[in-house]
Amino acid sequence: MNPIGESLEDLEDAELVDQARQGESAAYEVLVSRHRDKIYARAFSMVRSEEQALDLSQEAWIKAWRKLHQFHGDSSFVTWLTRVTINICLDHLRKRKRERSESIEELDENQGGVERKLPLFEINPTERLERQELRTAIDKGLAQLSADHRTVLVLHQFEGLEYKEVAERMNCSIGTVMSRLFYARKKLAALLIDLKCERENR
Amino acid sequence: MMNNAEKDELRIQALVDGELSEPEALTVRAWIAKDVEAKEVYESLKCLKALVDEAGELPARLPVQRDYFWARIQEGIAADSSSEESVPLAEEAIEASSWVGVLGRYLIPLLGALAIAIAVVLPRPESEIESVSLSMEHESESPSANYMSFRSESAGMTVIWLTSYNKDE
Repeated sequence: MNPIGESLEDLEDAELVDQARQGESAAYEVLVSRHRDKIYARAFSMVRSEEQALDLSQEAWIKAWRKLHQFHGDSSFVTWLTRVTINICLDHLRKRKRERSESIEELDENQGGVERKLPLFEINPTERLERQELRTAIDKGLAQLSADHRTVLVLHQFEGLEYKEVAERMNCSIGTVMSRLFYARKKLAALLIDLKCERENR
Repeated sequence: MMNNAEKDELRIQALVDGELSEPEALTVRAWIAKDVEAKEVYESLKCLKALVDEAGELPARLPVQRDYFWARIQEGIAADSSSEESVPLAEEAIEASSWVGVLGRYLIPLLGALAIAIAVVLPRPESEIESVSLSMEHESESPSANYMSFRSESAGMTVIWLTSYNKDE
């Protein structure tokens, strides 16, 4: 409780960040409590493993504490922390890729694990899929993608990064980003069409 | 290797994602307007993108209790700061050892050389010179120290005889 009777939970993120910068760990604990699920969710969407996502999101919080002086409030705290998390996850994925060649997975994708052409995809406003159903289908699609394809989709579609930014973060060309994104979307489209067909047949 | 059809699909996708410059976008739009297949790809991508944007991601919840997670973070922060503290200590040690190294490597030999130079250059006291010139050739013996010396100024040499000392004798 501060002198004007506000508890830490009442404070805005920016105020909590200020206090945390001065070494007030209780303020940081409130930030963790507020955003832990979102940060974990981003890590999970990239690595698709509960255990790894837990470790990586924890690492992100620890790293963010150390780098709080670098946060100048140009974006919201949670946006900044999400970027920190993404970088940690990308490092982790790179390390994992070095350890385990993904050549088999890539071969499968190139040889038509998915239709070569984008399936025709349209949903009429009158036959809208339930949001939860749709999210589940998208999540299923993400789980089936390789880490590279999934990451491009997550960074561009969910994090709103431009092709150039995605390419920079993933150390690849813009052409590769475009190609991976298109592949990921084809796969998602195929899954959503299946879902639509299932509904029509019920 | 990417074929032309695939390149076209990527250009359409870039249009949907708002990644084309205005002139490029105009060109692709003009092409879509007269190409049925291109238009189908465009509509499919636009619909899919809108749907995914609208649905968003499946929310994921941290699979552990809040307190447990916070305890892990605190532990990590503590470990992190203790390793940070040990870094300056290590740096100080390196710095100190580097001073010792500098002293040993450069300063001590330099001081030694300086001392020799001073000894050579500085004039010796008058009394010492006199005593040397007076003692032309002489022998001396020290029974207590078991040695005998002979100095010849003309030959410029001194000979010292040391005899072994046996304390049992």
